[in-house]
Amino acid sequence: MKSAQIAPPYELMNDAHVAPKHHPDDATLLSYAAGSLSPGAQMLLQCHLACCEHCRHRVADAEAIGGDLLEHLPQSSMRASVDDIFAKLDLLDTAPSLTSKAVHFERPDWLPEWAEPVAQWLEKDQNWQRLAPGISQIKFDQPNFSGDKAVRLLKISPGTCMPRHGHSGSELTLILSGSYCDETGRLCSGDVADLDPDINHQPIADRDQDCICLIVTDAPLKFDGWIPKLMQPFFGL
Amino acid sequence: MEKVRSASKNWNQALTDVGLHHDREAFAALYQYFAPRVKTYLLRFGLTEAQAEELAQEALLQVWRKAEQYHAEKAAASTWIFCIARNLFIDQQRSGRGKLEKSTDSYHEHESLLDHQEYASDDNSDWKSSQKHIEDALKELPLMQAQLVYKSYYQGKSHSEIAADLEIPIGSVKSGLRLAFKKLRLSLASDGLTGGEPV
Repeated sequence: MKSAQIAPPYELMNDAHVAPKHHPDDATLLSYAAGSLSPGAQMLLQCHLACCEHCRHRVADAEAIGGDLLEHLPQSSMRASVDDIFAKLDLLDTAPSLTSKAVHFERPDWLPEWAEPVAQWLEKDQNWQRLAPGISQIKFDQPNFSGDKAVRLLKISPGTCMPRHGHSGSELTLILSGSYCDETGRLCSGDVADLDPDINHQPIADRDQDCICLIVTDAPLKFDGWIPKLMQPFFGL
Repeated sequence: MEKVRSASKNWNQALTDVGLHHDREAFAALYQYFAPRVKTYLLRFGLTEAQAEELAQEALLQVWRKAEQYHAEKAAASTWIFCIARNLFIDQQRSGRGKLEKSTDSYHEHESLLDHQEYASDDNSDWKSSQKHIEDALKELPLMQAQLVYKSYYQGKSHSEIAADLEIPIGSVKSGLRLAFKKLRLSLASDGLTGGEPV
């Protein structure tokens, strides 16, 4: 945003079309472009990229680095000649087209349009599992996510204070609806918190509506204090 | 500098011709150049010879079929083909067709991210001088940062996997990649390649 622009009125700031202000770390964007994120983190990034032009440009740069690196790789001899490929293509061209139409999944009304990749993992009328007062979750434990420590949706009631916690690995959080505040600022729909293990934070959901976020962890969260420790098994982390 | 641009533009033009005119000669040139490199890329991710051959063929088939969607002003041909190969690899892994044991070798075991002797055998002599910028930028990276780039792009490792491999904290993996990205982006900027849309 150019500095000459006048800040939009507060109502507009809450609008889902406002560009996200909290972005994934450059290291995370690079790994996305390199194809080396875990499945859950990759899905989270897909959603954020769908609503964030800034990060789409970053990823395009990281992909250009990938293209350059590809050009510098040594060659492995191909068994198929280009004529073999043309023969295959001629066969395929005459065969009836098998192109599948993009599948659209039913999207619950709390899930923004740009978060479509999440919809395919939700069952119809999926129930939220209560974890603690004001906190419930939907855990994605499909085989697709076996490369992740945990992939979950968390719903936090208005004004609820999450236990203060740090991480032994990294944690990616994408706000789908509502908003929360922590030491790093106020995070709204489309924003990503990309936290290093050394960051200890205490999110508090804003008072106007439920805050729903997608959280991908690659190592267990570590809670401070004994009550949160009791909660840890409930989080299943 | 002019040579760098022209060689790169040749591939962009070839891919554009495939998209616009189903130009078989242009495709043949792209195939000769990129298929053997896509195969190496897939082998480094830990695929077997047979899997890498099959997927490299599939990648080039997709290059032919999707070429109409390619826009030279948005991305270099190499970037576009890289994305196709990467996405195919991800799909193959997710579909459960064999979990891979990711290799644990490291950057210095390969001496370099770049391979030089290969250029001698290339038909297109322009390539010897091409891509100078990224090459220089990679050579200038500190060993640890080059290692991180190598493990991300060529071994498909996540931050935590790299941290475990190198026995360093995740925070160091991220800060190292951040710095490497910054330097490599600068080299792209001087090549006039940044700012494109993703494929």
